[in-house]
Amino acid sequence: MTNPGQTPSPTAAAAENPPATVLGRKCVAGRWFFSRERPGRPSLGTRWGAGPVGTLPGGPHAPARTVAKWTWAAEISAGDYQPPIRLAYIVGTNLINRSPNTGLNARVLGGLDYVVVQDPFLTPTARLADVVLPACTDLERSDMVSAWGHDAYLYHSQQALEPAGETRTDYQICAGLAERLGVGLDYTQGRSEEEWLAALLAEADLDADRLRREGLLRAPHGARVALAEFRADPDAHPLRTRSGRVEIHTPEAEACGLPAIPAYVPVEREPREAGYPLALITPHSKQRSHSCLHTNPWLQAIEPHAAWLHPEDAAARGIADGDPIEVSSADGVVRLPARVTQRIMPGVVCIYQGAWYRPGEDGVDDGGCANVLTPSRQTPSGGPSTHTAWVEARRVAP
Amino acid sequence: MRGMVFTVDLGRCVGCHACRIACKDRADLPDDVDVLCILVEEGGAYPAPTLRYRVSHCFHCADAPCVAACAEGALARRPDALVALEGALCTACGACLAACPFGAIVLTADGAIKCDGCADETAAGLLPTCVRACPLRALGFEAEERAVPRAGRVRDVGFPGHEARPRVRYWARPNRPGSA
Repeated sequence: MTNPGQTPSPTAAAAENPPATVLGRKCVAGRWFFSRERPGRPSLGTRWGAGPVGTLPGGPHAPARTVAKWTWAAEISAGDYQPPIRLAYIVGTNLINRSPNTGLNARVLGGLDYVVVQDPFLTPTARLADVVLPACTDLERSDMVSAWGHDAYLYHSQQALEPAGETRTDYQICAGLAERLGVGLDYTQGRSEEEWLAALLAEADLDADRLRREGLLRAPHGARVALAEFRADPDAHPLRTRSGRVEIHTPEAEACGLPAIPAYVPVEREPREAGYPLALITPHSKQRSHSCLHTNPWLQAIEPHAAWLHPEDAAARGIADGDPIEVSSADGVVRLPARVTQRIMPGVVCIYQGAWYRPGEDGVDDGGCANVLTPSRQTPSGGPSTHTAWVEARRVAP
Repeated sequence: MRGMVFTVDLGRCVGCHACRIACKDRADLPDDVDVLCILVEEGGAYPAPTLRYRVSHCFHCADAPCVAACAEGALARRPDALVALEGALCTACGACLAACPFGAIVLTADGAIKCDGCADETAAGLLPTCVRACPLRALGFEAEERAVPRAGRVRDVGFPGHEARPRVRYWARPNRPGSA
């Protein structure tokens, strides 16, 4: 399984906030093993304003099946995959932390026969692995990156340091494994990492020397404009709707249980969520990028990790600012300090997402990982339900 | 430093801590030691809360209480007006910490430390490290007579330590608490 970001990422280190790269995670097979909008779709390569840059070729076998991006643990534990999944090879993603329902994720991943994690850091996911293959960071190898596929720039990610200790680049790890599996040359095609980058740039007719020298290339026509072809000639470039046009009234939406004309649909509270009156939101923080950089003390000092509560909600529960509290949902419990502030709406709890899962002996997460509280529930459009969770808070002994 | 003041636009700072990190990096400070801090000022009530970040460090006060408090002569005013700390003379007694209204002096195992005004950098014609690091251009370092609030800002003096005549000008939005 590789990180299911919208585009590939440069390294495991930055994998949850991924600019697109060529060698990063794509080294495994050049394919996503998570379903995206179309399951099993081959990767597009690094897209940027000027059009796609190639990526490492995929292997001869398409993935036989894919697993759900956000609700994989619920589906594995429900026995939805037959024959059952027994092995996981996880590259560059803090998988259990970044998917909703982290407690279930940890139980399901820990219950597999064999887990391999390839990552620069001993993340909560890596702690569950039978084998950790230490990858170097993106500061320790060269690559090219672009942001989310619609940026006008292609960037050179220049190696600044030699890989630390016994770490290797993701490509070297995969090349080494391919060799042991007897397909080394099929994978590398005799090319080093640098040679791949040069070849892919040459194929795309891009100036590798200039990219290296100036650090970035700007697409000749600027950023990619969404639906530009459709706007220019809607008949020649119809959209993938029944009418081929932009549809405000969409019968397909009704088939998914949504109103045919877009409207707000409140999420129905499941019966098991009845005893949890407070709404949880889990926004991004400035201390980290998703779960990346969480272990950097310089950034942690920006704001201590805490659960925000409005003074009214705190008073009703006998909670004062700084008190140790437990926040619980139908799916799990986290222990962290309370932050009582007017900056949050009454009835709402805010816990910044991305803090590392660190279960104590009683199973309660002392790391304050917000996804311990979020449910294995997918939005109708396929997103994670990380901003729709119901919780309760209570003061606990220090 | 003579004739110069630090300027902090409270209406621009988003509390990103780039100044703190740059300062820490320059001085190679331990993880838990900072000589520049960012105070969080929350006010108002939901649904109209206010939030403001106040960058604070040694402002080399004209009437520096720390200099008066130091019995060892480790803290002294230099000819260029900087309040300098001579580490070799410091006995780590902590008297300056108690005297400083900004909490800008930190006691470490090796004695007291504080902002040195990036004396090397400013002597070389550079701006102080924190000012250069600010991506919002909320921080400045400029001649005192030229340091006037721009349109939409007023000088804020609602902070402890103002009476020591610190070399800082805080610019605030006029409708915010604490502005004057």
